[in-house]
Amino acid sequence: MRFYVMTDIEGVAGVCGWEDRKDESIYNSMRRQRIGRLLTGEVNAAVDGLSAAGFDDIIVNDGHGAGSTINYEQADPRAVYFHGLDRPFWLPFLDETCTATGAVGAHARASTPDANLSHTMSGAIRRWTFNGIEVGETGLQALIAGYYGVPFVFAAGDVHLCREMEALCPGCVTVAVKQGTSLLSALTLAPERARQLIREGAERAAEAVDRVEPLTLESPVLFRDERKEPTWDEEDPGEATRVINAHVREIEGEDLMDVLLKVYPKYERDLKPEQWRPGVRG
Amino acid sequence: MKVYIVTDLEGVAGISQWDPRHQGDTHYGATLREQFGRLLTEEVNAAARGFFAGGATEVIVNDGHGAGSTMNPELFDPRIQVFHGLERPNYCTGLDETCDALASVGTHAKARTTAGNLHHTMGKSIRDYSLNGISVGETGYQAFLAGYYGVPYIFCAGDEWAVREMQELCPGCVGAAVKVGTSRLSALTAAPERAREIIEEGARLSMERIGVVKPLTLESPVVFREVHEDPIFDPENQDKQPPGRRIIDCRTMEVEAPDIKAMMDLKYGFKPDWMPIWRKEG
Repeated sequence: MRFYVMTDIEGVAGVCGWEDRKDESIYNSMRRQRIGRLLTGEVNAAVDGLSAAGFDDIIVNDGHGAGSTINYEQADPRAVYFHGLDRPFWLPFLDETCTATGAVGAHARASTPDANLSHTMSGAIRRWTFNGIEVGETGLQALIAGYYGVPFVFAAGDVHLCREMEALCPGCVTVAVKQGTSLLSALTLAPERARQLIREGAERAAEAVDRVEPLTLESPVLFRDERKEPTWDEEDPGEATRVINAHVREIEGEDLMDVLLKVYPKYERDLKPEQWRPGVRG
Repeated sequence: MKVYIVTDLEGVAGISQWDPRHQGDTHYGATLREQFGRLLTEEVNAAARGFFAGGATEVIVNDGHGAGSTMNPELFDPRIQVFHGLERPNYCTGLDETCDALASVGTHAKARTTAGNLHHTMGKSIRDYSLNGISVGETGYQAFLAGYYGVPYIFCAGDEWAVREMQELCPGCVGAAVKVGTSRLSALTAAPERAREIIEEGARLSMERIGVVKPLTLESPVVFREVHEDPIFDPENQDKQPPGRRIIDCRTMEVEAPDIKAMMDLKYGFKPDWMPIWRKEG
């Protein structure tokens, strides 16, 4: 039974500010190491709970920023981890072979009032919708999973993200490890307590597999991409793009994957990666 | 029973110098900041143990020093919740009528307390804060806000001079003196281990003072006065002041409002009707 975990840093208990990868000060490098440990503690808790629930094949996507935020010296041996740059797709290995998917360290979508470190992909985006459904990063993960018929059943992160996912994927299990009070502040649980709840929630998420409907979209799929700053040029819309105004563009496709490939031309369609697992050969 | 703790750095045992965060990027400075964060966090954990032993069921900690994330989340007692970060939505977020007591850890004396170790009020440029003519330091300022919600200030851990200041302002509150300032930059300190024992014992004892210590009150209107060491205000700018704010002389300004909460909202530009998600959701 395969489970796909997406990870991010902004929804981790004990983290309340942006990771600054350009600040090369010694203190900042210590802080970055610390947030990596905090994230890994939460991922391990999720892996522990999922394993207890019977998931024997867990894929973790080290999804934040530069793609290697998890501290592998601490990583639970029962999972495999996808990390690094130049990715063939945003969520490789999330496909119809997975039983369910979930997220750890997740933050609310852009423009969510009071949510801690809310954003969608980058600071530039104000609002993303697919066929009118507003999503952030975790909502998009649920849509990609849904495209493959896989339900989104578990989210750990800011309470604002939890409410977002409960509305998008009714029946999913959520664990609020902190409560955002503004973009840069939050009331957080102690990391140890957050891990206890994540472990418990991840184990219970197995029960949600049968009750949560995969999040799907009717064809055609219309993607609306609204930016905070004037970005789009009506006179030069670019391929497959309709410019509505300087802030808003729309892209239409047959299905979700068709749209995503138009947004991110470097990705490959329906990537079929080798189902590799570590082991002694021969 | 819910206890709200405000933390600061300058009154922690083992610390006698200013936070090195503005002293440039050195390995020594970064290591020292990490150490200061640990020293503070362990004092907070000791206070939390005492409060829980004394009957508290909930301990909310406001990571109050400087950049708003001085405590080390990796060391948090699993039972506490910590409010941390920048761009906070109001003053002492989470301190309201649902709290049963206010306490402070790492407390330093107010500006101009000659022997107080690292004494100051908010910034180093301030000579005095007063509310309706009563001189206060940072902790007194917070105790008056708590009083607005009917919440008593019961416990002060920090410099002997801060303890005396708070016991004078809030008779009956318990002090845990972990050091005695001998000048602004020197102190006689307890070893951190001993300081934590004193704090735990004092915090436990202070729970008995709920109902004994009277919440601080202020007559309406509340007049806040801020006096600076240096002349920074231009009396000729009087006309340009927002309502409720007036310049008295080149060192002094006042903010007047019906109550202290309204005064703080006015002074800092907070939204008066802002409410955290945990209150909205009940």
